[in-house]
Amino acid sequence: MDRTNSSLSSPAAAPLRRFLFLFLLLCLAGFGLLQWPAVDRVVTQFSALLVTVSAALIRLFGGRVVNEQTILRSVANGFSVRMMNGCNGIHVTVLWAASVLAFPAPWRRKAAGLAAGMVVIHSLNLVRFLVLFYVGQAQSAWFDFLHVYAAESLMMFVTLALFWFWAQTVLRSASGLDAG
Amino acid sequence: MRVETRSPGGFLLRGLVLLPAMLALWWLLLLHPLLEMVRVSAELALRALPRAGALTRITEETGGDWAIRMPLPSPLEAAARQMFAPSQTPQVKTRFLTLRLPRQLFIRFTMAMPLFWAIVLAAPLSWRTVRAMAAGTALLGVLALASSALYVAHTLQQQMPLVSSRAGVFLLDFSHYLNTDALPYVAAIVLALWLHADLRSQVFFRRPAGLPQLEDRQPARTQAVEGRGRKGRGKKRGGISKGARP
Repeated sequence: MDRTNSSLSSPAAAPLRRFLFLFLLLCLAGFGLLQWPAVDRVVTQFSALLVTVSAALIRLFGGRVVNEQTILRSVANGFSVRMMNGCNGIHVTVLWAASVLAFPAPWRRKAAGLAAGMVVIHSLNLVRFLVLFYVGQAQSAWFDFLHVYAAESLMMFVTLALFWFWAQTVLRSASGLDAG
Repeated sequence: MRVETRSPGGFLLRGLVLLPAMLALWWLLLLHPLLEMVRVSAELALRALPRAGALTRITEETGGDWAIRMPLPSPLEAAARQMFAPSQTPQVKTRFLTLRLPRQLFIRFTMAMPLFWAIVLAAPLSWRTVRAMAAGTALLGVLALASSALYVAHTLQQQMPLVSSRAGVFLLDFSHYLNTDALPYVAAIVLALWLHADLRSQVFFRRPAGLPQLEDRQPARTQAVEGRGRKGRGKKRGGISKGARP
């Protein structure tokens, strides 16, 4: 996409309109898939895996925690958190996948972008989960604010910056690319 | 019109400073007025409904939850009579119902605003920033109102069948899921990209190699003419126009 004539209504912005349409469609499809019981079971297993990894990381640094399925509990004070769909980074992953797949780029680039983005998103999400686990024990009054508003907003912001970075990499490497 | 060029890295760094600041501004100063605006607007919208009167109102209870007193939708009258007064004669009519809803949900419907402000302010700054901020905030306010209405409809559906067809129930459930779990975050990003042309331009369009920090978005041909006609500015503008394609 060339940067001149970036108005949404201009003929030159047809790829951009196509991107927006595909992005919203893929978002709907992705969030719809998450409602399907079979997919929900897989996602729950994924959440359990993330909790297991979190528990292993805490133990590695000397912490004492117990994990059971999607629940992580502190042995010291009994504080526990359950990892649910909003906390396991799956919503952000859906948005990331929708934006990368909708962008006009070669499939090889899309696959690399999807994989790299997911690694970044889930690494960040793991840090978020661990931070929230400790904030919940130390300052329970802040837990809800950080969990529901701050951490989610931060994840979305980072994902947008990540997408910008990936899109510029794709555009730079594919000079003359106008449509996917 | 000069527009600042920003890299994704600079955008991220500015955002990491701006986002906590915007969240603090929203949480500590603006949340109460915003919720009041949503409450008053929702009350006015409810009063526009058929059979609504002065008794229709939304009040904030001592615990902070919202009590919504609204006219009962006609299709629900029979179900409500069955539910609340099964032994009474059909002449007894239930015209109003009161829903008590958690305040946190309404807070969630305004949480896209600090994220939107942080994105727009971290993006290239120009006069368009102000316009995008104003339009986006207004649209997010309308969206908060629509989200509240959808939430009320879903809560009603949980109590008594507002929609009976399977497709209708699925659509309402799915809309509720998107409304509470996806929309508060997605709306901020989509609106920022839609309303802020400079941000959109820098995210989606090719950035020419060797572009200076400040860039002019005038069509290249006009710039080239200006570049030849004005000494001093010509060299800089000519360089910029090389990157832009007519």
